[in-house]
Amino acid sequence: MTNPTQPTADATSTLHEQAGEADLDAVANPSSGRRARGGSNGPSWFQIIWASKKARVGIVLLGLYVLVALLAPVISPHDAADTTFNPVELPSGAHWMGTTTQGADIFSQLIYGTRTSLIVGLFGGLFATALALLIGLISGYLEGTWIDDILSFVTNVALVVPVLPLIITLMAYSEVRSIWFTIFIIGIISWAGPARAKRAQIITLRNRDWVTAAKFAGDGTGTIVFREILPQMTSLVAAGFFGAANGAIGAEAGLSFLGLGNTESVSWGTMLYQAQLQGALAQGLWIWLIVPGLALAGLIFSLTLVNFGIDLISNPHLREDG
Amino acid sequence: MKSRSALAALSVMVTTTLAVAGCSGQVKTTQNDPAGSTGPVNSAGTDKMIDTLTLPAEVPDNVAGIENYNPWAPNVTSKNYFYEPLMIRSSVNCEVVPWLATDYKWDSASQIHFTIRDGVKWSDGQPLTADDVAFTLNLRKQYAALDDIGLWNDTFGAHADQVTAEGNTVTIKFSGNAAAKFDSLITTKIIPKHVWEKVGDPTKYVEKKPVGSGPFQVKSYNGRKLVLERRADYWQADRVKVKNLVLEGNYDATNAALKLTAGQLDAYWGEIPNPKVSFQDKNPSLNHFWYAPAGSTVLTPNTQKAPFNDAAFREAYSQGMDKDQMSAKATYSVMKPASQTGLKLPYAENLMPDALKNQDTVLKYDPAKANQMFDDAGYKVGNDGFRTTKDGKPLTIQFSVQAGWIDYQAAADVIVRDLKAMKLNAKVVASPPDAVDLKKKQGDFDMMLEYLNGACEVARNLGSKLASDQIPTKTTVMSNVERWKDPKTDGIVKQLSGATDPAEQKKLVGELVDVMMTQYPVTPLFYAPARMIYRTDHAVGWPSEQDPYATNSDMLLIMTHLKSAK
Amino acid sequence: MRYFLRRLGYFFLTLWAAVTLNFLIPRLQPGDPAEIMVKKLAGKDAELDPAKVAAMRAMLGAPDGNLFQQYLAYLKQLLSGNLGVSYTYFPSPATEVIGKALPWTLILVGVTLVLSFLIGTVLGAFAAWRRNSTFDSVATLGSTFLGSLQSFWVALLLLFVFGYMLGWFPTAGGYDESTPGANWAFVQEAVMHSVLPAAVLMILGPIGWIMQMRGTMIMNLGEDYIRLARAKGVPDGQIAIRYAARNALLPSITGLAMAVGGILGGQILIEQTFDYPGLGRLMGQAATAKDYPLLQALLLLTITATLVANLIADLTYGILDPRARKAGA
Repeated sequence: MTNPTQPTADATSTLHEQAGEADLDAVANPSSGRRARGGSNGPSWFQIIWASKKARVGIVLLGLYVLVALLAPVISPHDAADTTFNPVELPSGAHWMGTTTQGADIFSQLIYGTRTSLIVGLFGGLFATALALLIGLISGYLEGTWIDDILSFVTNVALVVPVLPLIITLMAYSEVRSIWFTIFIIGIISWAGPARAKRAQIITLRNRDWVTAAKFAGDGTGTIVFREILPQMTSLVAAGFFGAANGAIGAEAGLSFLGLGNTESVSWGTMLYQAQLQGALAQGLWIWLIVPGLALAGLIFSLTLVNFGIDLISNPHLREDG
Repeated sequence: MKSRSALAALSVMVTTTLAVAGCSGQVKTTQNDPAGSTGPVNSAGTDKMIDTLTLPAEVPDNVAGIENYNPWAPNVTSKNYFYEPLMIRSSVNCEVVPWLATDYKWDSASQIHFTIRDGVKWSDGQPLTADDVAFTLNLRKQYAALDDIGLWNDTFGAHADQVTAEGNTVTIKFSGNAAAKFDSLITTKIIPKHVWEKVGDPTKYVEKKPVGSGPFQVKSYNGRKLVLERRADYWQADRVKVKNLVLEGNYDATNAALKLTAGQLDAYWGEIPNPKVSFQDKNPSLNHFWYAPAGSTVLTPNTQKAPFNDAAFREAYSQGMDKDQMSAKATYSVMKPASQTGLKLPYAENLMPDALKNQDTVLKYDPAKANQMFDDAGYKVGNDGFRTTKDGKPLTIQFSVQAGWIDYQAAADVIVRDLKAMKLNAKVVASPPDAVDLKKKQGDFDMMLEYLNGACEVARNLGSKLASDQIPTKTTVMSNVERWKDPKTDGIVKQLSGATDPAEQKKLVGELVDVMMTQYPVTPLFYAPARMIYRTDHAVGWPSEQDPYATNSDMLLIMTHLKSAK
Repeated sequence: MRYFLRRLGYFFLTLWAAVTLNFLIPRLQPGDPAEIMVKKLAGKDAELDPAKVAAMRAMLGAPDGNLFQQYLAYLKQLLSGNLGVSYTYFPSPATEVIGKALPWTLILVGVTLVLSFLIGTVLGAFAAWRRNSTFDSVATLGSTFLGSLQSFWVALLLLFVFGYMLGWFPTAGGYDESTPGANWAFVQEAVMHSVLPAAVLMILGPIGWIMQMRGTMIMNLGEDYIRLARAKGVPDGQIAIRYAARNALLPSITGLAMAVGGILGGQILIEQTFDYPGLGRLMGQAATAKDYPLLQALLLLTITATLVANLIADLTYGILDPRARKAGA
């Protein structure tokens, strides 16, 4: 079964893999690799990112979203879960975007939905990245051993496991429908691809001179992986995180759109789902369907732009000034 | 008009037989002939034909090019307009309309005769006989997979022993009391013996050229669009005014609303949220809808589990249900709040116990009273502001609802809000529908929403909702989801399903109603619809609130009622 | 040689594991196919008629034995090339049902994939060559934004605006009046019905290829051999196309091979929105109806295609870059 959010997931994962491959080449080129992980002898990572116009736009845009999420109770005129208004009202002074068929204020839902998406992005991204990193690191570092064989095998199988039936099965046996459950599901279905990319990255890194040197110096596996190799991958991991966050936000929207999302808090995905099921377009409630879609696109766009900036750290070739 | 009077005479005959036999269920006799003149008929144009009528596809899932008219195939391309039943009992007014059978007669509750209509021709020209009917019924004995009416097993009434045809009469002999089987028995779609006796295993047979007795035959099918044409030699051809019937597409709510509005579809009976705004208001003179009550949506507690096993507890929360609000959120106020009796009002008014006549049996929304009742029953409010069990333990209620069933989800939100207003710590858990079914099978839930069938046979509907042998098993979902176990109720249901005397039936129904009104095994919230959404620019005579002669499951009746709008 | 054998063995092992999971996961879900089927015919919240359920069970045939025995029977059936009879489309074999839907998805997703690849690669190469130009910014930012949209959302909007409001394109199905086959009327209708779903895929599709090509190309342009070519006075256009773009294509083509494997998965949400008669919609149906034979056959098809594509990508990569033979093992 394919991922319900395939196009988005594809776009982001391709982007992400592209970033990964570019990184690999950069790392394979010792001079650029060194430059990237330095910092004292080059511009700081923030300067590099900020120097990119695209990333700047992305950061500002993302900042706006974060601000809206933090200030949601202040900005939003009503409680998002309050369904006691007149249903199907057109935009007015009291309801800037009208009300849903259930009598909730659309604008307030939009504002509070920002929180859900950001939380899913942050924690879904972290969870998926952490899983991918853990499995990728171990598998890559122990390349050729039976542990690697097993982990790679599991990864490859996970890549082709039918996503939709798996989600339905997980949901059927769980009593929780919180945002954390959604995050858990997203982590479970999205770690495999990045894990494979991480493994490949480790394999190239592990044969670097400084790793060999550390080995001869008698450092243990853990020390080498976490002290020597991981720091080299910071920007790769960061790029991976933003990719995964994007994937998570898209996946949440897709899951919710299929009616499999969390039911305890309002999200843009659940808004779209409700709008579609209630026939919003047929009832003339355009805004209900359009606004959450645009909000989602804006957030994913901003994260992708920030990721452009992060790519610049590990891949100086891409920097706009040269 | 000659045949009309003939049919009128025929229905008189049915009336008489019924009065004599007076059997099974709450059979009301038909007041008008099959295609009685009803509805807003344009008198000038009754004889005009409707050139083409477009309806949604009958086939539930469509993949281009798979064609099969075997009426038992799960994905049959079309069957309603080829294969006809013995009789049609509209679930709204419970009148029995004679169809392929002109008459029926119970000798006792274990033997029934059907008189088969003369002059009916199959679409290949051969006459339809009692032999065909007996063949159809006997085929189900040989192939259990075909017996979707439970004729040869003990589902609702004793199994059949023997089906025989003699002259124009078909006789079914049952092993015991089978009165409750009547409603499903008459729906049997009759197939031609001369075709089906040669096809081998009928469950695996792919029928490409249907031979039926119905008003239409296949004109063309291109894998997506099925065009049916009117049969001039149909036995009541003068009542069928539709020349071509196009069956095409499976639409979701939005698509259906837009197609209807655009005039690309003449009728639809799937769910369209807010049909008034999405459809009717766009052209009130042509666009209409009628959502007939088919049953009730009920609040179902797990009566095997504390505190839901306490009638006082169930009565208390039943008083605090804001049914108007639920009807507004779940059905856009199209469906009315439901009567606590479990009967479908006003259509089942005649079954109401006299004591409750003229009394409003829809429970009033009264949270103050509900809270008082909880206090009186000993469910005190704890330190956290929520009610506890009687012995002071914390009480949490999980409300299970099917994810993706928007009406249920909307109602569940209101219910949980109402429960919180009664200081009960409740929350909604939405799960995939199959997972909710699993909870029904395992009895692993606190509260959920359920359906109470409102069809004519009360023993099979309200009765099976309350009978302890209808509690879901580990493998099969059955009606008694609330797990109501009461020997007295079982006794009433058993008597009712064998009752043949209308007065006795009414008395027994009254006893069931009493269980509902005093024990609150389930709490009816609002009526559940059988939808009919239609346009009147091509055809008029659709069923409506003023003329409730059929619902969407009686398309043959509707086809014989439609008249040209021009 | 050992490398290739190892890859092949690995391929079959993964295939077996995936097939096993495909068997297991849907069966771990609650839900009885016969009950679901009866419910579908009666309406979602209607009461289940026990007689109908019993008849449906008898028709579909209750599986014999416990889960493990069923699994063994399934494997045996697979090895003999029999994919079983679909529940939903009983008594049609799953292969026949899939055969009807396959061409639709193959053409829709295949054509848009190739177009996306071509457009994306050309735009990406050009954006890299004219780096930091207005064209570059518009191409990257524009495609990034389009790529941020949700497919189902775009599909709904296109359907409403171009299907219903403007009425330019049909709103459902794959064709209307014509008879499927090699005739002009059908081709015309099929194309018209495919425009909107294809548009969704084309709006979202190119971004990945643009960024991929742009990234690799920029890197290649910084390499020494390009500098050398410039110093030797090779014309700009030649450097761009013959040197930089050609080398940058390699990762894109590997990506294309992988994407081709994914075609057969169809596009569930898009196909459902447009009621498009392809594999994605079929998969959605089979999953909700617990049509195990059909679902298994569909998954088997997708997984095999993905794994074969991966295998080919791996093997060609192994041929092209001997270093990977070890790394990719």
